Amino acid sequence: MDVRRVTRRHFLVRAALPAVAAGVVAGSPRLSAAARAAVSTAVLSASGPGPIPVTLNVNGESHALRIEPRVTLLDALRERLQLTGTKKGCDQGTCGACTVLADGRRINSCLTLAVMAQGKAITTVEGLAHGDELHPVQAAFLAHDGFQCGYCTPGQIVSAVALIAEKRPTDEASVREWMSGNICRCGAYPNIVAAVRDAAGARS
Amino acid sequence: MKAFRYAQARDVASARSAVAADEDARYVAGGTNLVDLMKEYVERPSLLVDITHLPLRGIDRTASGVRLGALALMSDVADHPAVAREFPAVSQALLLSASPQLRNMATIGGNVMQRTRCAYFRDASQPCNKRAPGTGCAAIAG
Repeated sequence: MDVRRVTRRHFLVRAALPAVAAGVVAGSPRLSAAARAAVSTAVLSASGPGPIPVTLNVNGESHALRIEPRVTLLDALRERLQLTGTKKGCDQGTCGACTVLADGRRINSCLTLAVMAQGKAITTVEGLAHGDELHPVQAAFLAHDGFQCGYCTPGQIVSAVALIAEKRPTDEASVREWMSGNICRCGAYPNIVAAVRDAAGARS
Repeated sequence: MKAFRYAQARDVASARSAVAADEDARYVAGGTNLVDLMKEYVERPSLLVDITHLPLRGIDRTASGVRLGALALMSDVADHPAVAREFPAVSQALLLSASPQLRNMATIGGNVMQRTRCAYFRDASQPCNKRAPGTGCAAIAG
């Protein structure tokens, strides 16, 4: 690389991988002599860009797929596994309609590559109910009429399940803050907040 | 999104050498910035090196502060008791960033290395000196 074109980004990308000092501690990224020696000999095996084997664990079931590395978890769920409960809204990580749980933590499946979701337990909205028995959060959304058109609802419900598991505060302002990754174009927020608080056992 | 090859790094050295050997290779961890830019064809990597399995997630109290691994998640740093107690500004700043979902994906290292968010940078149909040096800047004339 031409030295004059070494930007701050390139410097960080090339040099800072082992650790980042986050302002609270002065640390200088550095590589040991042994690591430098290893750089020239270690080799990674890459696959793709065509279809590659990808195994996804979704709602307790293992699915062996052949998909390109560029397929997102959202598209794999919807287009390959026909699990269309998870919605594609903005497809850029803003709206939250695509929210799923990965090892119990809520994530945006639209910005997650399916190949990188391997080895994680993925839970979609389809995985919440037990047969005909609704998950308490689903029941609360029905009881409080927590939707209008319903498109954002699966993401709202999955996000609320995570909020409760995270033991976040359940006052109204906190629920609004911790549900802020899920946008409702219909503006059903008052009823969504009521449903989440009810399911979380909040006292009104 | 342009098709790419994918490799999962098992150690820091091989990840570094793979990315150093190919100017169009990129590290990927949370993917919240990179995957988004790839969908917009702003980033068109030939190879993604997945570094999420590297042991760089630590959040460690040190004698003088706290050391955050490059792969520590924003949410884990924000919720870490030592960070919340002794460096509340860091914790609070993280909690005011992005969304709970994105904070569960995005790493501290990636946060430092986010690409610019200028709307023209993100719009591959517009000129942008940052994205493609010498093409001009659509922001100058508004």
